[in-house]
Amino acid sequence: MDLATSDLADAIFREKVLRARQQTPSEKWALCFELHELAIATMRSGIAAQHPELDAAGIAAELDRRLRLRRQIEEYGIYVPIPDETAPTP
Amino acid sequence: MNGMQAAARLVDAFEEANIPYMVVGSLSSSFYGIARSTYDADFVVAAPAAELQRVVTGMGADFRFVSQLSFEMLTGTTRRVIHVRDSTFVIELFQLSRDPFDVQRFQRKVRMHLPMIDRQVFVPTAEDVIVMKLQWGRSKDLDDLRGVIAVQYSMLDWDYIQQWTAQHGTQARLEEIRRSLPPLDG
Repeated sequence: MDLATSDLADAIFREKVLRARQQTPSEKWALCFELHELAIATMRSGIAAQHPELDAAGIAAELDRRLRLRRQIEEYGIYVPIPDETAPTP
Repeated sequence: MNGMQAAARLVDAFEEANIPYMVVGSLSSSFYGIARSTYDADFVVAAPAAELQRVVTGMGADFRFVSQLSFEMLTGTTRRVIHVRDSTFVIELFQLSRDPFDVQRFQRKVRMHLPMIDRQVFVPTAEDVIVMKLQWGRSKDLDDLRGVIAVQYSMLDWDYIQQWTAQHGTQARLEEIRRSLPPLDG
């Protein structure tokens, strides 16, 4: 990172820190969920723009696929599936 | 039901069933640091799997356990995932492990009042969030804990943090993050 970019990144980070120090934990809790809803809405818009042929169900299916993919990437090498001892036996 | 409502209902269910729990993951780091978007609410719980099954089943059809159980390799705990109907949000329950840090972190948990949802929830201390995220060490964890350290800096119990980072071998990672922080007041 060059010096100008590094200075800019530091300034943005400092701004975020100062804002966070003014927020209550309760406000931050709510913000996490609001940002989630915003991220999902943005993903839906992106899918609709990329695939104008899809109806609402198709967009939901593609969103679901992308979320599963995100999870697989994030969890790769961290979680191992194991049998569930509480599952009802057939 | 949105994610916040789902997490609040789960907190209510744990409280009613007297199941010890605490909110972990990005929600807990957001309490102390810089809030960010998350796709799931993570809880550590100290209750047998059958008891958790009973509680979640009792919450109604909006909450459904995913049948696949997972073993988490860092602390050696198990994870159960709950899907919330008509929601992209997921809830993950981690069984309290026997890992010494996991045990101590759970013992030290604090109750935090959240007026926006009119509830009090248990969360780890800021120091324990830092120690845990240092262990995880993924890029998103390091970003989270950079925020926690910067926001909380002068209020942190550094001796406690350093005691665990020495045991976990994560001191270098911590020092790298501290060095990366721009000058801040406090």
